[in-house]
Amino acid sequence: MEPVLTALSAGTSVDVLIAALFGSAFGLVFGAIPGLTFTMALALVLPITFALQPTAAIAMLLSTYIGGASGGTVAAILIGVPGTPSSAASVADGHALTRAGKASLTIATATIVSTLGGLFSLVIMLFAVNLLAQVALSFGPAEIFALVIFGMSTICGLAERSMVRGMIGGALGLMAMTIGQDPIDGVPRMTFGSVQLLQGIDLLVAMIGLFAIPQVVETLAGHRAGHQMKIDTSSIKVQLPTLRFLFSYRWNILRSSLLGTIVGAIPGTGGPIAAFLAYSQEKRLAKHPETWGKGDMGGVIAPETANNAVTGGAMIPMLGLGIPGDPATAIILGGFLIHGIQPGPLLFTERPDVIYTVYFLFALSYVLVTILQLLGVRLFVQALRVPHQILALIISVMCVVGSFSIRNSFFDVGAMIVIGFFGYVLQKCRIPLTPILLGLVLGPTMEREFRTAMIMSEGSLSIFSQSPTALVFFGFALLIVAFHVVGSIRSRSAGEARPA
Amino acid sequence: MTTPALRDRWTGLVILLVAIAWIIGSEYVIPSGYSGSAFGPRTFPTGLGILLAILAVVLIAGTFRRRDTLPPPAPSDAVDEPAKVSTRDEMWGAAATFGFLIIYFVAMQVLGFMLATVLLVATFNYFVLGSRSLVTTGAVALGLGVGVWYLMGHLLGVYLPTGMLGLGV
Repeated sequence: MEPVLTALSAGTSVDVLIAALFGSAFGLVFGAIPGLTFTMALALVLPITFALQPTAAIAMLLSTYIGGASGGTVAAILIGVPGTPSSAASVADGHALTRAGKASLTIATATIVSTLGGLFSLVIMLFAVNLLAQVALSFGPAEIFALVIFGMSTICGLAERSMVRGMIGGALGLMAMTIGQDPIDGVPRMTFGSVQLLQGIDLLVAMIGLFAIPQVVETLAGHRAGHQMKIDTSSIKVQLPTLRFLFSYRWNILRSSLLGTIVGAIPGTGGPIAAFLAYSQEKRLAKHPETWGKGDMGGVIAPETANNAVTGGAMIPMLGLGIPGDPATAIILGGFLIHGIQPGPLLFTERPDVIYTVYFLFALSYVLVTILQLLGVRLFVQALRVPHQILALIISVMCVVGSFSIRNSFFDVGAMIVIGFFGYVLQKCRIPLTPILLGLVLGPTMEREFRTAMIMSEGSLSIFSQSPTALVFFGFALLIVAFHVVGSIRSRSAGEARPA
Repeated sequence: MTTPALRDRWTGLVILLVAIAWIIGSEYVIPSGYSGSAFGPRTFPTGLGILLAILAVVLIAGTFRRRDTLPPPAPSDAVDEPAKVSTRDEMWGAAATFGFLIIYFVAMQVLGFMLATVLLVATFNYFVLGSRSLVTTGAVALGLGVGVWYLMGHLLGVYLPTGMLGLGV
């Protein structure tokens, strides 16, 4: 009981509430604006959390994540352009409902079911994380290494259409993380005599560069090309749905929540996949599937519930194993690490209060995001009107200030710009950035565990083959690779069979 | 016009060269370590370099096996993508972004945070991004400078560079 009380008292202090409020609003704005992602919001918020005490920092990160996951809905419903990829599945029915004059009811319903989905996923998370951590507690270095390999392979394999490209990204991220002082022998690696490089590439700096800078380029290019949305925001109100109305969708909400949580828990998947799966599942089960796509409330409820249920699901491997499943949880993990909190099974035995704090702040964030979204919908819609080139400027300034403030170092600012440039070029060459980020986050763990295992076994690789758990993870990783190779050969031969 | 296959071939080639340079670098630059284990400080960098080289070769090989001899997809395929940006605009966006970042990076070291931010944001917004109103330009620049200073410098107590000239925050 004591950790719970510690968590409660830590989680209800004023600075934590302010941090959560700020994060919710920041996430909602970034989620609402098409082209800005909540991954970017998280990368920009990271340097701010650096200056906060750990609980407030966690509050800000979680609320930014949750705000961002919820914020995409408004633009999808009002203007038919999803604010985030996760809300793309809600566009068809959501925007049709707006055209039918039901925007106010649709936005309020979407907000409420988002919260229900998120809170449902929290409940599942409570049980699943504990179970997972208990199992993982018996893992030694060999098992953890195998687990990281498995995690990396799902991320490279599931998230990207081309596994080779995903793996190139992952390898680049892992390589970048080997720069600096060697974790075991302490010798410099690839530093070429630079003192600053001895500390390695700062994770925060890399995250800001990778996820904010390429977006700024794209926004400015779009500005040059003359893209700017015109939106009518004059008549936005919030009309709460009745309980009876919500109750009539109870099975839809339950099923979509469950689906979203499960999809979220699988590394390499995420909001967009969950939303589209929930949409097609509910459409199949609907009494009148013919009205879907033409303005059926069910077609908003299913994807919106599912894409928020992903948040809790994605936290399961992140908290229980220390393996993030998507860029957003990877950045949150990075934020935890800065404050000396290493997610994973050990956290449950050593710092149970942190775990309860995370649960509590997760729920608190949902409450705050819901209130803000219902009360402030007009305000967030105004954010859609800010010219995008101004946003790009603001983000550029935040990137520079943010990367400077981490260590008061201009070296880091330079590194951020260089990493941003490489990120941009790689993206143009269709090398995905997400595996790079996961390589950066998981790289040190992977190497440390491998070398610890080697020291334990006195250099014999048999430590891996003697562990059934490690073998199972390696087997899964191989399976994913095989699955991909077979799939690409099939699609290739299908493509050749089709007359061009 | 470069076809996607051709671009992939170049991407693969550059990555392959990077990988080879990395492998040579890690074998020559990194000390061998003291633990005496067969798996020392070089193991991971070199192993990853070899992995990257193999992946680059696979990427290059893929461009020959694909139907890359076909002409690029007809323009009618691209109708679904409304946000099509020409290569020229794309290059402009990249030049503008990195130009701003580098000048801002240098200016902040000399002028300090406040002056560099207000001056550069205003200049950039007016002359490069084509803002037509002087009032908005000024308001955005001042708002951004003071806003970030208030949030980071004042509320969070983060140190912001004062510049070589010592002209305040």
